[in-house]
Amino acid sequence: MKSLTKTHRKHLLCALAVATMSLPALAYGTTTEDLFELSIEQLVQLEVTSVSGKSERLVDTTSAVFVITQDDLKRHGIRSIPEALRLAPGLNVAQIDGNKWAIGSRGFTGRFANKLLVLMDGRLLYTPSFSGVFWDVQHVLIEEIERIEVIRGPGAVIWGTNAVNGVINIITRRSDEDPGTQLYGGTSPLQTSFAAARNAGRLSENSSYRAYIEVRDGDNNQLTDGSDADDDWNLTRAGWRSDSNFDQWDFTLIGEAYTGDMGISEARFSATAPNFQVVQPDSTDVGGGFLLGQWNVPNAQGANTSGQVYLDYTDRESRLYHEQRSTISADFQHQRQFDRHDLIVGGLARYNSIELSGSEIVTVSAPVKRNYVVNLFAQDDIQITDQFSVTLGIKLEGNSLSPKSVETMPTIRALWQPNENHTVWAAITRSIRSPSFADTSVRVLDVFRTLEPGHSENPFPLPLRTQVSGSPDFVSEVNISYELGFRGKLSESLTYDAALYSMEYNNLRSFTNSDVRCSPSGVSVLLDPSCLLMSDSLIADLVFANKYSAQVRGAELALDWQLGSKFRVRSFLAYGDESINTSARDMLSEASYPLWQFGLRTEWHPLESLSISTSTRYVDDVPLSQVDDYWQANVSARWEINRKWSASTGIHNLLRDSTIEARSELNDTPIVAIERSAFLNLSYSF
Amino acid sequence: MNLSPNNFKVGVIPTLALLIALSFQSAIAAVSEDDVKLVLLYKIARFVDWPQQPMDVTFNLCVIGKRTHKAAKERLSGRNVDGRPLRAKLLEASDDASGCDALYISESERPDISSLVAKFSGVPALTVSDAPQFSRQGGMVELTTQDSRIGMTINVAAYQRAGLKINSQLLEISRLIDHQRVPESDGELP
Repeated sequence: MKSLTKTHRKHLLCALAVATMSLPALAYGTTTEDLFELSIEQLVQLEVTSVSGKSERLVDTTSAVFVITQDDLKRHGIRSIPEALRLAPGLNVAQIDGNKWAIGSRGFTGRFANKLLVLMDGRLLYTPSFSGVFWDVQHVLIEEIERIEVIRGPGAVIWGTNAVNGVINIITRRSDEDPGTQLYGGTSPLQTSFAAARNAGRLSENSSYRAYIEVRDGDNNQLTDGSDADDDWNLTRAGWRSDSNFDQWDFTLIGEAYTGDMGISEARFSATAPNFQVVQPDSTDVGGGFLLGQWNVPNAQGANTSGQVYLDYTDRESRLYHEQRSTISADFQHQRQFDRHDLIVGGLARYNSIELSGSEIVTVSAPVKRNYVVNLFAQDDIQITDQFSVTLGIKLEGNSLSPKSVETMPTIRALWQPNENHTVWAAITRSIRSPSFADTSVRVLDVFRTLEPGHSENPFPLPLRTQVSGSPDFVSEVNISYELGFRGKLSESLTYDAALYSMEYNNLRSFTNSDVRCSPSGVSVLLDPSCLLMSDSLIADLVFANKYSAQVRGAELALDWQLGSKFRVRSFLAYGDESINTSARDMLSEASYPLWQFGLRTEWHPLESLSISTSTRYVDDVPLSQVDDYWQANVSARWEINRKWSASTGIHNLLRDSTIEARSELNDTPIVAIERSAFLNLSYSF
Repeated sequence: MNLSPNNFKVGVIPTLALLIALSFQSAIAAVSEDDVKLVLLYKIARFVDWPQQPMDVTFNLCVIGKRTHKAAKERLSGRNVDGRPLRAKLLEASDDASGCDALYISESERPDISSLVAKFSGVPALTVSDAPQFSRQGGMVELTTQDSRIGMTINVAAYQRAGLKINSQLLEISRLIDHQRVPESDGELP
């Protein structure tokens, strides 16, 4: 090795000086006792880890909860809600194409997953028309999200019916945060670009407001054969929020409107085409908006009353159908603490008006245009000893789409804290997935791929198509879940969260074959087999019924390790095994779930203003959906350049050129491989 | 700029040293949020001009939140505020807060605290909490966490109404709001 040059020596000295200067700092701050020696000015300068703070808030909950913060969204360059949900351990988030997603928790992920409840600021994003979420239009300016609470497992009593295997609760921030004007723009991951402007300030002494407008645009992805998937899309959204405080009364008013269109490639039946299928580009015009008012009134003696009312309008129009849905919803809750009890009671009334005009593919089989939902709930959290508490809750709901007049959803939960570092909880819950408009009243042709003559499941000499019809006899799907959870600190810097669950389903939706008809005559083959001679195809009539039962069992482990204040590692491992009690005659309408999932996130702050983050995931194969297992990784960097400018950049889907993450459980859209993409986002505030 | 390998090496040493120094910094800086809040609570109490009391009358620090109470009992007992021995007292939601000199409501321990905040924000004691919006709901000192640092928001009208005086040294490093007046420019006082 060469001897040190003069310059080297100078730098070494300089380095030693820097290192020595930091040594006095080492002497204090290591214990709480030493903190007392610091001045108040030094204390407020001190960088703290909020791991304990955050997890402590969650220590007392009797369910598997994870919170995605605004900080997480910024750090990972997230621009959409589905991408954000990838940060939550245990959730299964898969992209079908540019604007379609399959998101699930503890089993049954799919584009039409119907057991996961999604809310934003208390407003239902889960749609009553088909029991599921139109992820393509569910959005808000990402910077306005305060946090996303993700609960794996049931949560019907507090959150709402259909919270069977999970709840996603998106909470936007109050308008008095971050006053001023901000501009955002860039290319975001997954071939999209966006531009947005936001302004926030004070309306009066007691009120603040914010307003934003955002334009987003997504490019075409590619089909597996290299042609355009026609899944390009655009969405323009404008929103408003004001928060007022009068004499301890809090009022919030939120309103948003959006318009856009979502490209889709539709696989349609053709008697003459090879495979009896042609793929046509189409688009769905989407539009809608909502107006929501919330109030919160704290009373004396530790009581609190809150309520909200909202109007929501959704419009979706494609060649297949035109849906116009209006919702009016009002709910209230009252919370009171006395002795060892913490009691919440509440109720809700909701009215949906659904207007659906169809096509030759989609028809409405029953004139149900109105849907009423009424429910009442009560939950009592009883602190039995200092270490042990029990929660009893029940929700009663009536839904005009359900043949049953009242559904009962009880839960019993227990929490034991043997010491301040560890918590054990257990819960037994009965949940339901209530019937939707699609389950009872809609008829759809060519839901599945046409079976060619000679196919093992087609005994006829003609192509066999399918038509699925809702049934007014369709009842709620029922689930009983058993959960056991462990949560706590292994050391000051390492926390763990583990859960075991078993979910027993009954009355799951099935398709039962009721008839095979000749097309176009409509005559039943069983009654008059001669109709085969004058037909170009046959249609198998499938009717919704509740013929399936299933069991999903699994385990989840999440670890969160804070190494100093500069480096943080979070990882999870989730196992979920679906076992379905099959029958030859009926078909299950649920999509399937990966057996194993693994995730690893790292966050590193080399400098105050710079963070570098990675997120890696492994998703097991899903044989039923013909999706292979894959590893994928994202890397991103965020730089707070100065008070005005910040930038994030990175690469999503780093490990593979393209990945098939999911396919729609229905045969309506072709398979799209999601490609690697780079992004650059800028924000400017003044 | 000449980026010859030699120049590169010259740059590496100070960079490495800086990183080493930074990692030392991080080791000491990794203090828990709750510990800092507890110490701040004690320091804040010392920045208040308390009404004259005999030296043997205990200074009652009431705490809502078991964990924080335990920590306060362990770490603050034996210390003095205004020459009076500090006593940490656990307060239940339904209790009367009249014997308290200072009251701390721990929101990090009880996420359902918003109603209690309103109930206790009016008591004549010094009220401190880490509950969001505490100062806007009539509480005196709100501990906030932003960018991994603890800050304080003080509601001037609230502590003045209770007849307390807070030392200007504390006011200078806090964000001040006056919920009755001067809300312009987000409530910042000059």
